[in-house]
Amino acid sequence: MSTESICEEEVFRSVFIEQATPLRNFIYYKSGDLATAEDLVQDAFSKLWENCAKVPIEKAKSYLFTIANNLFLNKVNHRKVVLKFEQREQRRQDDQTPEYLLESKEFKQKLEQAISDLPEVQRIVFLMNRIDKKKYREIAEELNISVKAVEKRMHNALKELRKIHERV
Amino acid sequence: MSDKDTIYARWLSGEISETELKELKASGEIDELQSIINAVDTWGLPKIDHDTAIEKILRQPKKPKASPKIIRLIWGTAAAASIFLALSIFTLFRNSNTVIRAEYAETRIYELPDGATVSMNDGSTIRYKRRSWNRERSIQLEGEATFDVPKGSPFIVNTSNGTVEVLGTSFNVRSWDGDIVVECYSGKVQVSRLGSSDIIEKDQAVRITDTGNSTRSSIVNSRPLWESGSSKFVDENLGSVFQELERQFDIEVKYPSNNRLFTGTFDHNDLNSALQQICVPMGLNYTINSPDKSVTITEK
Repeated sequence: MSTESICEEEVFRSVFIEQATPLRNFIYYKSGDLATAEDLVQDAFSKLWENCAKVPIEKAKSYLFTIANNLFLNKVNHRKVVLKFEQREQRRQDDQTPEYLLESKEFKQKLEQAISDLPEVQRIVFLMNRIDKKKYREIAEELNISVKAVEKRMHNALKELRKIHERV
Repeated sequence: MSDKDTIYARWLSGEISETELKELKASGEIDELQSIINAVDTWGLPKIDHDTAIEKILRQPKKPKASPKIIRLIWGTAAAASIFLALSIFTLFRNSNTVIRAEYAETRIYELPDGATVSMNDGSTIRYKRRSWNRERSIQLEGEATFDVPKGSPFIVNTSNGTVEVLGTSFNVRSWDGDIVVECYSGKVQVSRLGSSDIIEKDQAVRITDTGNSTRSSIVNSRPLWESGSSKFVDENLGSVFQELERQFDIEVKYPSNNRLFTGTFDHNDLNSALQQICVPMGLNYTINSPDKSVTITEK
């Protein structure tokens, strides 16, 4: 049992630095809207700060995710989700012919589309594992499901995504 | 005992048996999966500016109800420019519209891709195509908004009651039912409706009705009054005044229909004062009903 309180600025700061990005990403995976995701993160952390005396530090992460999720459900966002990602590292520096670059750009777009089209539960698990680098056990805890359930969703996501290799 | 319905997931986390691995390799499924994973593993999302965001939360006072809400990226302006650049490269919406809406009882400032800003009054909605923004700056407006526009390609605001076109200026467009009312704060603006058009300059305003009747006037304000918490009217239809009251306080108002015109102001901070500001000069009575806070207006 820790004796630190979220009401201490330094503690609040470190919770923010640790959780803001994965939380923002989580809402983004659900909504496809960065502005909404950013707003909800702000709102969730504001609520945490307002209620800092009532939330023990061990419960902070699940508190934040629950608040953000509830706020998201209230938003009634029925638009189709379209996710886009930034390209970080290039894979092979020596092989960057125009054809290769065009191909990989097209592949990326196809893949982004396929990911956006996944059922939400699969999409979220897949992205939490690949983008946020979370292990299945951590995802299971955060989503309140079993590890087996996480593995099933991950498997189904990959099974679906494999289809982009099919000849059109 | 292997589970076929989790095999891909377990392959990814390295928790499959030798036999299962052999099977996957033989069937070629692994190559397809691997190419997908290799691609996704090089992706990321914009970085958050933690310090700015934290400061915002720690320093925020208790929020009053109808405070202006400024939508700005948490990530800070330098990062914001590169994010907009990144997003526009990835062409977020394939030729479809970006829709921004100010909810009732809130005002909102939004930044457009080229740095133009639009400040929206309650209940208003704008639509624009982000992808083609640099070629043509064209926005659909329902409601009321103020635009601050840097010079560049033509900037066009379309409403169901008329069109406003500018080349670098600051102006307010009010378009609810029937009339279009435009105030110009700097530069020059052309307002068109039903084949006729008016050009107004700084400190001028024009109202065009649905029959194409246009009236000009002078103004002394350099920003719309609704931005500083009050709504001002000159010879406005009483019904329109009550509709603005409904939007500002997020309530329902029942009023007798008449064609009287109202000239005056009401403030946004208190419903009682606002109702008095309208009703007293017009010789009307009002009642605020419980529990829904709807309002009924009657003639004296």
